[in-house]
Amino acid sequence: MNVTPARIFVLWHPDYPIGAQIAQGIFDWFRTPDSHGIQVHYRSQPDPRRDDGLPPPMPLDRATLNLVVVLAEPKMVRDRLWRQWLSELAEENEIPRECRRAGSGSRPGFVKLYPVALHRTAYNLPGPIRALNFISPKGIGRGNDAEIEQDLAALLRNLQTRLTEAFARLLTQKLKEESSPKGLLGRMLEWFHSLAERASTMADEPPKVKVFLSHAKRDGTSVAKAIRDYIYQNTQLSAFFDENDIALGFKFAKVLDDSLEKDSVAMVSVNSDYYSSRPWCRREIQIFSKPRRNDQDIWEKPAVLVVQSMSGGHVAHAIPEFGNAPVLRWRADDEALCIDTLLRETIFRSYHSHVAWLIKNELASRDPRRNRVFINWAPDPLGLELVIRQWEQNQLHDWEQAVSAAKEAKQKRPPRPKLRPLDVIYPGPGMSTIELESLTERFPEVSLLSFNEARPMP
Amino acid sequence: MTTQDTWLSGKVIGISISESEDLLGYGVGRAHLRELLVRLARRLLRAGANLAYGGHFEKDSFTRDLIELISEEQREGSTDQRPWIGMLYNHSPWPLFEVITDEDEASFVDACRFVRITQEDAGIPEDARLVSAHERGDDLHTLFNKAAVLTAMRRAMATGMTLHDTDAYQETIPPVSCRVFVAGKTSNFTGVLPGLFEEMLYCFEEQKPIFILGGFGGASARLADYLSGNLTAKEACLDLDTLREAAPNLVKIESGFNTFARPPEMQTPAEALEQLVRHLDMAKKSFRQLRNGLTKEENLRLFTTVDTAEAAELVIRGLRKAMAAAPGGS
Repeated sequence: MNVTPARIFVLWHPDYPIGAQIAQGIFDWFRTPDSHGIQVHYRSQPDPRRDDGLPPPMPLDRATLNLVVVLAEPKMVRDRLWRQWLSELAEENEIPRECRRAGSGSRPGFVKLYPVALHRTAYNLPGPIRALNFISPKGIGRGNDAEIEQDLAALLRNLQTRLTEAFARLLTQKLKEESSPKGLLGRMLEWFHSLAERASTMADEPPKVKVFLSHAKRDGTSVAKAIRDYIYQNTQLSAFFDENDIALGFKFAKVLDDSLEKDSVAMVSVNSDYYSSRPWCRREIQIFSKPRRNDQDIWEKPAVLVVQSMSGGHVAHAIPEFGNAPVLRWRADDEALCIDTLLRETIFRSYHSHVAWLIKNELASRDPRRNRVFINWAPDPLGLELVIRQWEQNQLHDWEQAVSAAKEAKQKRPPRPKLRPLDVIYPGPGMSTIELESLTERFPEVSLLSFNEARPMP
Repeated sequence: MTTQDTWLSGKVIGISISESEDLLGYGVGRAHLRELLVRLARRLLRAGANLAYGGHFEKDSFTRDLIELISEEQREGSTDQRPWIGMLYNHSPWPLFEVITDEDEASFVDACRFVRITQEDAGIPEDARLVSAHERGDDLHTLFNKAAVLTAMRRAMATGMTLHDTDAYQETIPPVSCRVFVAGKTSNFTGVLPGLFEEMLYCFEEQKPIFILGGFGGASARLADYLSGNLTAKEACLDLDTLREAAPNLVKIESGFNTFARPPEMQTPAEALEQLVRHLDMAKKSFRQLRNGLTKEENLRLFTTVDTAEAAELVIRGLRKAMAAAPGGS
């Protein structure tokens, strides 16, 4: 089993009647149907292979970061065995006893517990858990199971929001410590890291990280404004909305480009009737969705969420730069879903960059001369085209520099690099055949390998 | 991958997967089984294999998941289909097949061949066949006939069968080339043994490669733990009293052997269990009896891993070796 950047464990008492449904909701949010995203595991019923009455042990040394969600309600709170288990887990979360006892010798991953208060008695869990900041989803009331079950969708939505934000912070911070990938996502990691230290550094608080809201004014600003207002009222992000965000007297295009290339970590593209025909909007998406290489040599594309808000009856053009970006049809009051989806996509990209980095290190000793390009998004024709061309230019540029250096040192001229064969290694278990065939037809000289296909089995 | 490597072309890979009572005790849920199934099935299909699955056809069933996947892989509705992508043989026993309509069959005609196993196929004498099970509930006669049909279905999957849709049309349904076992119930089963046990028995008898994914609980985990010496026969449900306790209908089925004529291929629970344990004990001594191309260490990993990518990879790795070693293998 390979080490992964992060894993989620959902813990609930086996007698809690809606625990499995909530766990399934968490699974479905963090793990897409085509097996993208973060692995989610369940811990509830006792392990039939053991006699301690507890769920199976969590293999904490298999992930850099173990995110443990505890669904706290009376059944769990009153169960002595669970209390003891959770106490131990909370007390020893940095160096779990389980791992030491197992004597595996491998370094246990970092463990972070997220108790979720699903009932007013949740806070009566033992001290070490009680000391943690609970997630309290809206709409729990007094925690009546029947009431919760009636509006389970609303509870799940709210829980997804809270967990996404919480995970984004920790995941990015911890993964940064592990591999420190720079680039756009690297900056997001730094920002999340800084959040934890905010209280003590209020005087020189770092600037907030921005979400770029790309929209066409001609179609009105209500959607973009609603999202912007949500960002300011409910999150710790900031938004680049329009020219009003540019200080007077500064060069318009320069500030805009800087915001797109350096300041913004993610983009919401409000795809309204005239969006695709506005040159500035096209320019924004074009600049923002260009692949960039981080300092670990992983090619990254920042997350874009397309919010579809066409009014109907108007014919517009599709935009190739959207690639495989998630698309959400706009509905009033869906601002939270927009930002959660964007944040989740950002988590996935960051996660994929980290997995790519792990695989790159694993493969470094095997056939090190093989050409490999690692990307952190599900490949699309335009993105792939750009990344391959940029990679080739970089290779030739490096070679030309080596040639000049050799000439100066009066050494033998290095051979021109061979640009093929080339493996492009992309996230997830693999594409559907139709996607794969379409890309293979377009790039016949390139081998497209999923992380799973590229990763050597132990 | 960019190149076409149909190394499983013409093979039929049997898949035994169903939810078990203790799935959560292994830290996984239905979502994990589905993820595993899709991951594994996609690789098998792209290598040219057909799949065989004896499961029901209701909404949200694994049968539906497989049909959906195959349709997608075959590029459903397109004129430019991929002929090397295999299809599903969905073996469906009486009376479960009664819910499959002509429209269902027509809708999924490229992706799935529904193989109905009738009471006649099971060798039940004409005067002992029942018209409809739905009106009868779980009386002794129905239970016995259902068990007989299940045995016939599981045997047919291991040995192959000929379908006579009409007098003019015959079709050979090939046997499975190997079988992959995941989870599976050990209680409230309706055959002479838990379904997964019976399917494994016929695989042993027909000397088919056997892959046991024990990390997802259920009958597979019991058998994996028995083979690796972690469980006794009784603990692994390989004991008639334990099975009788777990499935109250079993006693009725046993008594049916004294009441009704025994179809030619049907064994009593005791006979079938004895055979299975005999095969398992041989496999316990040497995992080579599993004929799956994997080393002992690899089998032990397959017995315990909950990593869907690793499990799929091990099955593929073993299959490559097992197929190469099989008569006529490449």
